[in-house]
Amino acid sequence: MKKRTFLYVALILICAAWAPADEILWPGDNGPWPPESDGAPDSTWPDEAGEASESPWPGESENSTDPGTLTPSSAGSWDTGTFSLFGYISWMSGLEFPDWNPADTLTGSMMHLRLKGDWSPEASIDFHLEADYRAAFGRLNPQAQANNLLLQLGAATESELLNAQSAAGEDFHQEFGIDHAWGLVNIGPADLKFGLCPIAWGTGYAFNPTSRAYSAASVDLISDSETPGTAAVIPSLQISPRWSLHGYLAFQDRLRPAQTPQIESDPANLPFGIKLLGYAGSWDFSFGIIKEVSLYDADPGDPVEFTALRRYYAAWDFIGQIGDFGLYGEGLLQAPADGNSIDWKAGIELPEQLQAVIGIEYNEFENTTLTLEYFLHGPGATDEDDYAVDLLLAGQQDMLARDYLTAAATRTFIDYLDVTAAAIVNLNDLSFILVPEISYQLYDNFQLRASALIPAGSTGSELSGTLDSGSDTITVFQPTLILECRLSF
Amino acid sequence: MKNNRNSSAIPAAVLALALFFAGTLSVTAQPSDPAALKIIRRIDAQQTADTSASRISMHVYPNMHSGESRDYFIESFGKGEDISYMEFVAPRSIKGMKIHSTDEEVRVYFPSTGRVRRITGSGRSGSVGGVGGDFSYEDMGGGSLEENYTFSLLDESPGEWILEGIPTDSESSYNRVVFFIDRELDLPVKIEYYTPEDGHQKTMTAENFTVVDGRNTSTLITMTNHRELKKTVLKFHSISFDVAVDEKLFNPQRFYR
Repeated sequence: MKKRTFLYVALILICAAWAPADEILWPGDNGPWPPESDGAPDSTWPDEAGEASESPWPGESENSTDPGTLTPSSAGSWDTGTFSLFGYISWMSGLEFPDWNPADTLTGSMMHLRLKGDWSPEASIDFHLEADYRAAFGRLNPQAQANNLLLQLGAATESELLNAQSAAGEDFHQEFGIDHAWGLVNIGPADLKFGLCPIAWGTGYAFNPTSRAYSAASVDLISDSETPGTAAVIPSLQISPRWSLHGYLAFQDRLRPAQTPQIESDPANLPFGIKLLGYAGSWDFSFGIIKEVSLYDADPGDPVEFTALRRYYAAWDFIGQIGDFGLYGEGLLQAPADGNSIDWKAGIELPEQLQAVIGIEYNEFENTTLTLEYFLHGPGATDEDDYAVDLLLAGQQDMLARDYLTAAATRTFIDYLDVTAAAIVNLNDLSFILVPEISYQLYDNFQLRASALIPAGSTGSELSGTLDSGSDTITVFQPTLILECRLSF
Repeated sequence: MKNNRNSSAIPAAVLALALFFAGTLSVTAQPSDPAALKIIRRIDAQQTADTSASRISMHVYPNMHSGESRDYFIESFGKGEDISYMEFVAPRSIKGMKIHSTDEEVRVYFPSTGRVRRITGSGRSGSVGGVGGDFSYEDMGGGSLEENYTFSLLDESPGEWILEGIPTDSESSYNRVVFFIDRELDLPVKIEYYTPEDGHQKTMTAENFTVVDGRNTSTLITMTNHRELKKTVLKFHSISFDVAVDEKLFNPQRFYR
């Protein structure tokens, strides 16, 4: 769909969904129920529409008093039939402060529209859609950021980069795509989900090493928290009240190249994961195996030639409670390999082939949640000189160092005002990023947020915002203040 | 941060409400006072249901004297005494969020991230923050009255019984809770909560009684916080008892699918 057409359609749909609350009726209501008292809030159920007889209780036919079996899908019939359209629009402006010098301040802005739809044609079938549109300018434009890195590397001049954009004939300020689009069918104890699905494994707070369906580098840490959709089939089976089997078979690799290399057709390059989930007492846990596939250009430049990197892992996670403390963790152990195949004779090298997270959470103190999380990133290096920057840039490695500590505190000071202070520390080179944030829910569906990204550390250290590429020091990110307003509809 | 795992990232009232429906749609009690025991059993006999389905709106008034409130609309299903499922319809900012809860465990599904988060830590001793400040986890918590209190009959009149409940949990934030039971309805119409620090801290009132599937049922519950001058109102737009509900809603590993 062309961007302009999408905007037009979106505008119509949004207007259609935005009926003032006092003009809508609740299906199924024959007058006020329950009987109102003077003190009762004058509330009507959202999306009330139509006559009572047209919208019976979920699962209930017009001529029947038997409510049938109630499900969320049937609940959806309360919500404008079997269809619901919602989402949010946000405006974000950023100020970037190179070297903390106000005279060099840079700016950027982004408009983000997330349009979501739910359809439930019958009790056991659901469809969900999330379309994403962004218009980004200045320092919040990803293309501008990529160009900036190339300029710093001396890989091109700005004229060359702009000429390349002109030749492409696209508007690099706008981006539209379908991020999530999946169908879900329940068949007895089995569920089958397919389409563009968010696949999010793991219990970690800042790091999720067991999420291998997409690259962590592809997640937008600034604007929102949506897990990117992955083209996949996701079956699951409840095998007992406390045990279930979940899996996925994906049809795209974790790096998501825009190109369509022939090796994408090789069945050997289909990623998958399968895990057994259980719970006992106050603990949830899972064990599984994962096949990860990365398609990448091993030798960037002309000609572009893609190579497949296949890795196999054992994965596990858990979350539970000991006394007043929440305890969680997840782990990923890479199988020994010879090239792209498992080779048990190669042996397992520890900690190089291990990634693990363990965290503790405490929320018994004055409306405050405290989180402390340690991340062992085995493939990383303990010495700054050994950082594999090339692997990071190629997407084959998510972080550079081996040990990380995350600390976060979130407190609700007054109603609807949340203050968060978080820090991620690289324990090997002692660089860190501070992320303070304050958010205020001005109305039920309107939020204001101010946050900052403050890197610190010596030049070339990982979280200082600078990288040593060998010959140059590259500035990846700088102290940034983000202001955002978000309207949900 | 990318993961919505903090309980503070979830409307606290939501969690409170989840626990409320996990634990109090049916109430059982075995007070130590035989006279009080008889009364509580009458309540229990009327309230016990295998399943329930309801549509609820929750209205949080940061200032109890102003008419401005934050409003939440929720579809809720309950099973037995301990298990509930809730799905948000409004506000739109959290539409689609699903909560599975038992008397001790809360799991929250965030549709955007596709993650299910188990909420750790009960926070029983303090009032839940943010929008749900008037309902604490303890007020709403699961388990039966029988488990939570030792009862005695304080007073009775032609219209009501007054029972005093002493929390059995030594970590309770209350030192006593007083139940006002309507003799005709066989239901509490008012509950007063007392703390050692504040004395009479909060009052919960039940109004707008109607008969649903043969049971007297309150359709308007108000919690007033006398210390903070706030209140929260739960309005039941519909309730059904002992209806067939899809079992997967009550399964902690399937409720979000």
